Amino acid sequence: MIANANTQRHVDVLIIGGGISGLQAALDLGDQGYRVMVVERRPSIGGRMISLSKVFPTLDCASCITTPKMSAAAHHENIELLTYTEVDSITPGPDGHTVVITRKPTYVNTNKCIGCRMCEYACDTEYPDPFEEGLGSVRAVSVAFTNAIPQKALLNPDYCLACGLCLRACPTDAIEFDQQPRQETIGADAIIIASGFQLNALTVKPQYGAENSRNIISPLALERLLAPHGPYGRVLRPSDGKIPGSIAFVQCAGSRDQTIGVPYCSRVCCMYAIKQAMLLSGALPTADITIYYMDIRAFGKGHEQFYQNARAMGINFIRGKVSRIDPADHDDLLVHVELTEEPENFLRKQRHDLVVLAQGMIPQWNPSEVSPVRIGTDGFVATPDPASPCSTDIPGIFVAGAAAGPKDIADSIAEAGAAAMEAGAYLYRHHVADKRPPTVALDVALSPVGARSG
Amino acid sequence: MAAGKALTDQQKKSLADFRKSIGGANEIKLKRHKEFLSARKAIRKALEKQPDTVPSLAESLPLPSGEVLWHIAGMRKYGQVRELGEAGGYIRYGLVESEPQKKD
Repeated sequence: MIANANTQRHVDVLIIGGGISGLQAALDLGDQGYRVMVVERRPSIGGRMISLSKVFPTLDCASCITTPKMSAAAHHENIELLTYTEVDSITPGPDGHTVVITRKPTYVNTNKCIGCRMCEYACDTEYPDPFEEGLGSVRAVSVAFTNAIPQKALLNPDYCLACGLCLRACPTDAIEFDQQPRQETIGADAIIIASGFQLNALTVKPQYGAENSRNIISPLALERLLAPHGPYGRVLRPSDGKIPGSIAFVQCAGSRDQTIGVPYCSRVCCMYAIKQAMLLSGALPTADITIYYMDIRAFGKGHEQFYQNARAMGINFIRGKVSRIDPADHDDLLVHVELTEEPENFLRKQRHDLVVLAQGMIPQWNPSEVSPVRIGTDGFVATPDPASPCSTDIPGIFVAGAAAGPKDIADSIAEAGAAAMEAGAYLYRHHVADKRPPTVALDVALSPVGARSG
Repeated sequence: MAAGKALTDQQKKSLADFRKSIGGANEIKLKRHKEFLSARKAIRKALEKQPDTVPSLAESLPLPSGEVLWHIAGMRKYGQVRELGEAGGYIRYGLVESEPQKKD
């Protein structure tokens, strides 16, 4: 049952997605005095970036960059964060957009919860932790992850046995089993879609046999293995906990292939594979690390040097296309590769302990299901005007980051700033300049706090 | 596990209503939970005898080695096991004496 609160609230900008793009856009707009609401479907903000180990090409700690932005957004007087919330519909109108959202029940009163995790320690049911890509476990009631924001517990009814242990353990009586989904209607003058990406399935190419082996993993799973607070606390292969001595990266395993509906390049796989290979060579100094690639696309600032550094470190770069992966004894894997630079003996079989498939980036969310926003043939939000790359075909609705197409963190942050600027300019044009004499409008523009309300 | 405080009548009612709304502790959930507790108990019992690696535990229990590793990861997260060096390319895990149940 969904309760409709019928509480129409109004914000200047509603941002869909609390990842790095959404947070950057929120901070840029909030700092200009606009009232911003960030709607995030997961229990915590931070998006994909908060789960990464390090970033390329600087090898800076990913959470050291993300956490301050998460914290700044959470404490910003002009930003309201709604986590664990889905967008049901967006209806554009002449005086702004109407957005219907559903706040999913967490079964924990967030005003009472102090994040002490006593409920989590009392719970005796665990399930595969989505934050750890299923490699680790988490309890049926838990805080999403160590540096989650908000630091509030969340109960998963799919695994909860309703035993009441959490209820007895909570020192503030924050557990509320009677919570229901709650629908709200929000008025927003502008919207920024920053819903990010997901990876296509490991099994999208059956010839790679991912369904038959735990040791064929996604790059996001390897990020968790490389993270210091990851599921095993070190790099181990998932089938049996062996310290891997030979690791392979199979590039373009889910992109640049019309047969799987992803003809485009995912743009980040070359660089994250190089980064992960470098990090692995630090974590496992004696391991053989091989990257099977079609071509290396190191087009960003500092990327080519990063690639050359990896070669100098002894990472094996083998140009060719992996045709299939077969299981071998002792949970190992046999990679069949066609070498494109060898005139003879161009078919090779190589044994590895662990294989990482570079899956393709696809959109996390399809806004056309709930709004008139159009998506392109690639499934990402269409941006029809090359002169305004953050604009969708609906006035007042903008897009930033990987929701518009595959891109790396630096480009996502830059685009989020651009989307915030375009949204700010739109608000000024439609809600300030249109309603005021030019001189007054200028005053308001120079004093951004309360710009649209005056 | 500590019993904790007693529940109020209101809490008992909301718990009962919630149990009904999620289909209660149904057969699938109970079976899954039983298997989970049984595997944890078996791993704990084996580690009480001596520290061990994942494949060796998997062979002795017997459980699939990937499943044993998943349980070890959970027990490590909640402060029940710790690493005790390496043996033949695998990590040896041992029980933590007092279980503080804290990761960080």
